[in-house]
Amino acid sequence: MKTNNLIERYIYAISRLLPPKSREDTAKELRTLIADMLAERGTEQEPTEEDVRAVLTELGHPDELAQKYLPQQRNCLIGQPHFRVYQLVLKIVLAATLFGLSVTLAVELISAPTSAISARIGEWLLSLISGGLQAFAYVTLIFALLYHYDVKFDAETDFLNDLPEMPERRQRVSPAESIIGLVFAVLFALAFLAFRQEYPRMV
Amino acid sequence: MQKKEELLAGFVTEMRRGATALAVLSRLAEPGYGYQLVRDLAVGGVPVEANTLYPLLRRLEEQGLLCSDWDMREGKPRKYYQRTETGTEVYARWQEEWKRFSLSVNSLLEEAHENK
Repeated sequence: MKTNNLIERYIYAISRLLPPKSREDTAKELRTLIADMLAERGTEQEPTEEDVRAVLTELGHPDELAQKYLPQQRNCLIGQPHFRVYQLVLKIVLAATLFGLSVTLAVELISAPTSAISARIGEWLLSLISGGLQAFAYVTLIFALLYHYDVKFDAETDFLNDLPEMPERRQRVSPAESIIGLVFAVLFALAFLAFRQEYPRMV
Repeated sequence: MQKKEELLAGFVTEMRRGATALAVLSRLAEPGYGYQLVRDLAVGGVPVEANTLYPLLRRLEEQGLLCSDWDMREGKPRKYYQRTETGTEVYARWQEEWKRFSLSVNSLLEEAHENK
């Protein structure tokens, strides 16, 4: 009785994942298959639990077996061609999150330099983690839905025109450039703050 | 070391995937059921696990290459599969393709062997 129960539970674990119209058919076929495999071991009439376990283990995890019965395409969260766009959008969104939070931090540090810097940086790190996770979750959710419902992107465009340029030489941002950039950013921020102190009502 | 074995196993699985369906079609000019095929194919040197073969039979049926019929005579219900007319046509052309292709691959391998 107990072994029968195990077999039935195994078959149910598979058939519940199948489309209703083929469910019963597949269950019947699997039941006979398991009986055949038990017969092969010479224990069809009175199978021991050990035999049943061995046979079911050979057949493998019910989810995997059910998966093999289902049509092949949509068995991942985000597949091609959506995955390509997903990667791109994710990079942009994460970079924007990092940029936005960092600018906020910079402004805060400059506008109130006396307050505890380490606490500010700690807050920044925390909001970076939570903001990053949220951004990741939203982008992933949206693309999972787009993929699931097979929303078409304009993928048929002429990709030959979209091929990236070969880099001429090894392109790097020179240290001088980034230092100059930084200096200007700081100068601008200082000017902005000075302006605000001079004319508090205007800003 | 482990990596090499895994790579090889992947290639072999990939290689067998299509050939399995061809081997299955070859056996089903006359009606046959799943577990009988598992045994026949193993004896014929093309071992296929039941958990691969049963879904494959179902898919070939959905594609119209096989048809099926339940047989109750043995006490347990058995689903017998057989090639449809379409199945036979596809099989005939597919085996031509297979023979031509394997011949070409073999001669490439021979050539590589001689030039070694």
